[in-house]
Amino acid sequence: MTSRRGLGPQAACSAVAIASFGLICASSAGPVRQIAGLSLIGAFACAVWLVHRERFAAIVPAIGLTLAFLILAALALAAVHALSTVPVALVLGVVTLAATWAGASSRAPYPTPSPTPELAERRAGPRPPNPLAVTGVLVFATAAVLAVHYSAASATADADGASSVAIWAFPSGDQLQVGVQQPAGHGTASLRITVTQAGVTVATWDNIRLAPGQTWEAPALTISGNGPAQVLALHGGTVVASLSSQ
Amino acid sequence: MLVPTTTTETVYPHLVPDAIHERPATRATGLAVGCAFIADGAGVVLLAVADARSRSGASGGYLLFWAGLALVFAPSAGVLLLSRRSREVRLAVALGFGLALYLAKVVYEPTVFTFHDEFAHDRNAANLLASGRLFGYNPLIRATGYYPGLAVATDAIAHLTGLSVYTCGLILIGCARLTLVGALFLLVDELLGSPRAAGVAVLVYAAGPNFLYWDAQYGYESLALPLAVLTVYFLARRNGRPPSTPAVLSSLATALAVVATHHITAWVLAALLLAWAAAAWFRRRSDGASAAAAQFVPTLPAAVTTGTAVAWVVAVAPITVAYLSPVLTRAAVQGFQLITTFHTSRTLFANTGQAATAPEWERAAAIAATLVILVTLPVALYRSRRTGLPVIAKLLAWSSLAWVALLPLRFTANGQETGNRASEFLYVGIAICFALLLEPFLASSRWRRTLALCLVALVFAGGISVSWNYSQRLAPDYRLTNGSAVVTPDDQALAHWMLATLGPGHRVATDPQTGLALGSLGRQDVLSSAEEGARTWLIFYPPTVTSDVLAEIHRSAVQYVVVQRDVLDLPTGVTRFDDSEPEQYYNSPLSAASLSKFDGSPEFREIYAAGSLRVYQVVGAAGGQ
Repeated sequence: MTSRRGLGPQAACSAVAIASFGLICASSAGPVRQIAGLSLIGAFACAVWLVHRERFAAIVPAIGLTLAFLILAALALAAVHALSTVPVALVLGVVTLAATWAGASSRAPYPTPSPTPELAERRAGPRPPNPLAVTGVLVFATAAVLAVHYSAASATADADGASSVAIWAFPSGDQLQVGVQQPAGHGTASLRITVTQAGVTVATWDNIRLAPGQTWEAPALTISGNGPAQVLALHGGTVVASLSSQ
Repeated sequence: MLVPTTTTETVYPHLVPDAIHERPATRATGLAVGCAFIADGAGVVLLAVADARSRSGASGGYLLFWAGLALVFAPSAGVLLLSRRSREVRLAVALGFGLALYLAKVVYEPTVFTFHDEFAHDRNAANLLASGRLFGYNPLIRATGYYPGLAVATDAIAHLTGLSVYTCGLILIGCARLTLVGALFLLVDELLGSPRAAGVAVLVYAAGPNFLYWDAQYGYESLALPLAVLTVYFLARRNGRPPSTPAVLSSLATALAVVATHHITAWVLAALLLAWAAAAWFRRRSDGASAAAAQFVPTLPAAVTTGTAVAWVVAVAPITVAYLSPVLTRAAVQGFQLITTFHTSRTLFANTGQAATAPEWERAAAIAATLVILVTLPVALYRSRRTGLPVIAKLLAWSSLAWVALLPLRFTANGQETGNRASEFLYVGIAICFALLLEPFLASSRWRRTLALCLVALVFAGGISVSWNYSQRLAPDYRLTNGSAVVTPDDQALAHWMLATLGPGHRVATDPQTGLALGSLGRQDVLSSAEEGARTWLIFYPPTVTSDVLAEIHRSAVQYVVVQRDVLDLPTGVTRFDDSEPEQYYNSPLSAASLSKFDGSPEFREIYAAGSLRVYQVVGAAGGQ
């Protein structure tokens, strides 16, 4: 039987699910949508956990069942070609509400507590979290975020530094599409692009200033004759990329 | 006898005084948990710094890597093994420990997928996002496309949040890691009746060679295995009594999710449930009528899991048989040869080419850890015979012998992968054996508990030592790395360019690493000998554009040839383009003319150049388009 004390979390869970559903349907990609999407998934996990929230251990099956539900529900939606934002959010939201209120009066699907020392503590109901433990968890979360952020910045910088100038030239109809891309990790460069055919310069673009990561595309170039066209990208007289397009 | 010790005083002799002095005990508990989590965080930071230093070519990464792991392991192991904390505290610490080790993989490369199989699964998720249809073509590992559990879950999160496939994958596998560690802890706690034993099991399972990186990657097994363990946890009860109806229904849901996610995990789960049902049925028959009522026979979960797993292979994914049978056959043949002729085809700890080999102490730790496991298993199994363990606990414990049986495959070139990949399943049994054996130690004197901690630490260090190739254990420095050995930033830039400029689905012949980027990020249909019998090597090895080259290009309908010139620097003795290469080719150096022959041929048009990469469009009579 559900006590009055137990209805608060269920109401909160339901409110989060409904609000998240509304935000997901109303917002396009961005932080709001990200938070709303993760909140809806979290609300589902909470709804499962609420079945036996006195036990901290119930969080594990709650996470696992959330994963299983995501797989099975998304599989069913994909099978009918309906795996998109609104159907996924609708299914998850409705099931979250159903689980929240149906779970209030059902038995937990987990083993009954083992004969361990905190049995008496469990009977006494949930206890407030220990401040020292919470501090440790917060420090861990902060350190993890900082570590991943630092690592991502380092990986991006190293990958950019190891990238090369890319040059392309391919025919499109009777025209030649020419382009060049400066890697993100390199500084701003001033490039000169030349297109030659049978030793004759067909086109030249001087002083093309490319910021890191920037792409430049030449106006469509009409090439007559059958010889191969050579495309060079030069930086201060040095060839940084070249190709020979038949 | 382990299980019947049910009184608080027996299992936790010091708990009653703690209860009397509740406030100091609460403070100490909070301090222990807090310190363990802070150490986990510090360990992750050290691991991030280790990878960053390795990436930039600086020294010290190796020491920082082990220091980071020690920071993650030692305080958590201290709480799990040495302390007398409560079940909840141990579970919290175990979850933090598992998550910290998952982050070790995240900080390895936190911006893009980087391991081989991750590219294949990225393609599945991208296919589904783009088309909304299941079972899209996957040129990297075709069979993965027929197990869409990971892809649909990723796409569901992507649709809900608008996050990228990569970020959704990180969240998904992170949750799966929490489920795996938590479910294993709760399962062992339920079966053995001791949270301390559960802590041992978690630490030993984390020592498995595939825990640190392989099962933390964005792969279908990383998602299916935790759900399989959770399935067993839902059904397992101490003394074999039946679970509740909601528990059985929950187990059916997780089992069905496993079937749709990963083939081998589904088969292992089905086999385990069948064996459990059979053993429980026999025990019920042999026991008296009073015991029969209490003994749970998981007939329904076993039938549903087995039935759906078989039906899935027959009706949805018959390709699975062709995908797995060559691997298993090769392992069986070489294993048989090893037994009959004592012929080994692989040297332990050997690396190909000029790759650095692991230091001596790591090899010693790996061998010592193996010996410790080999000694532990028979003692623990003998002990398990004398206890009143549930059927499933005994089954899992005895399954560890399969790990021993597969150990010789490490000496075979084709069998070592099978032996290695089996460990993520069989380490559950090994973990239970260690829990059985060490649990009484942990309830005794301080030096015995310390000895148990040292043993587990040794097994952990040994497991990490063989977890990943030593030369690839830290993030690569792209400036020094051969472009044909890893997926480089230039590969990724090319993949994005091809997708944006040329569109998806073009037939591309290239080397394997470039193919990973083009097949996933670029969504191109790269040639593969394993998936479609293409002979990519026939296109690249000849020093001139011969009729054989053109015939293979035409036969495979190749539209673009992508040359990675760093392939020239690969050592002899390893295949360069695909596994079907004749031995005489990959045992000889590759001539530069073999890769530059496309420059002057009228059949090819060079359309893209970046670093050591060249892209040629196939034109003229050879054009397969």
